[in-house]
Amino acid sequence: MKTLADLEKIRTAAQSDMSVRSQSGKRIIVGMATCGIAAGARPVMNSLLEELQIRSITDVSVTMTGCLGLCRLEPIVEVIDADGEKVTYIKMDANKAKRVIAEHIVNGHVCQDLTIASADTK
Amino acid sequence: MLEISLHILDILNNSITAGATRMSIRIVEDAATDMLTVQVTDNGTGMTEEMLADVKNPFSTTRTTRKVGLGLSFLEEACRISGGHLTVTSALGSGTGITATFMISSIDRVPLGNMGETLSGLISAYPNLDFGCWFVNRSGMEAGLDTAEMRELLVPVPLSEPEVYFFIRDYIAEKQENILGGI
Repeated sequence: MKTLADLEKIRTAAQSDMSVRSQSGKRIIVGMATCGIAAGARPVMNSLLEELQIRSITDVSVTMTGCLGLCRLEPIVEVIDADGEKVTYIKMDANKAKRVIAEHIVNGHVCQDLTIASADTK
Repeated sequence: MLEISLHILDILNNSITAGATRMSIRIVEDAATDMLTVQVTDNGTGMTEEMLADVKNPFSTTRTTRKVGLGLSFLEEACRISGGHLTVTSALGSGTGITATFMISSIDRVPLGNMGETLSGLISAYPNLDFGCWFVNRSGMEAGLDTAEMRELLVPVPLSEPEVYFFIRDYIAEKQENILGGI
């Protein structure tokens, strides 16, 4: 059973951690409008956050955005590197999200087969 | 949507788009009327009378990418097919309130779903906004979480801290299970 007192432990641990953290400038953005949610964006969001935590990656921010106008390709995830380079991943799910963290965020290799560029968009 | 909690995620995103800094969710089980009531209130910009009158129309939207907006229409349909209904109240400058009711025993009612996943993701993405979420059951038992209270306990650690994500996800799921388990 979790209680609010657990936050004290989290605070103490995080405070000593925070001083040594750097910011990579990498950002991940998940489309979370009606279309994204209906297509399964919530488990994608949670999977990204959980995989980052499991790998102790603290310098990548994960945020939400609205509809990108490509509803039929949702769930959509954008990864923006420190230099502003953007990769758009489409038709994501929780497992593909883990792959993006492992291959793109950790190893720096874009998951080409999941990108919008590789899709048959007809 | 397969869960009421996904509708709630969608509605909360509307609130954030409307500039809300505080959103409250109350999910109440009433055994006497066999109804589950979901109330979401925010302190966003609110809507004009014209906009409010048309808000449940799928061809009314604030989005600019296209001319349909299905969020509230989906929610209204989910309420309606389970014998409930959707009420939206709003005024410019005083926020928006949404009350969605569902007949608990209806075979067409989608489950409440995972509020822990809905809120932990939202709070990680918007650590500076305040969310309150409360569950109330047929015996009047009540439990929930308020990020304003959490933020005070965590100073100077932000709510976007990864460990906090797991805490929120599991804390809310536990409260939901304890109070409204099975709904």
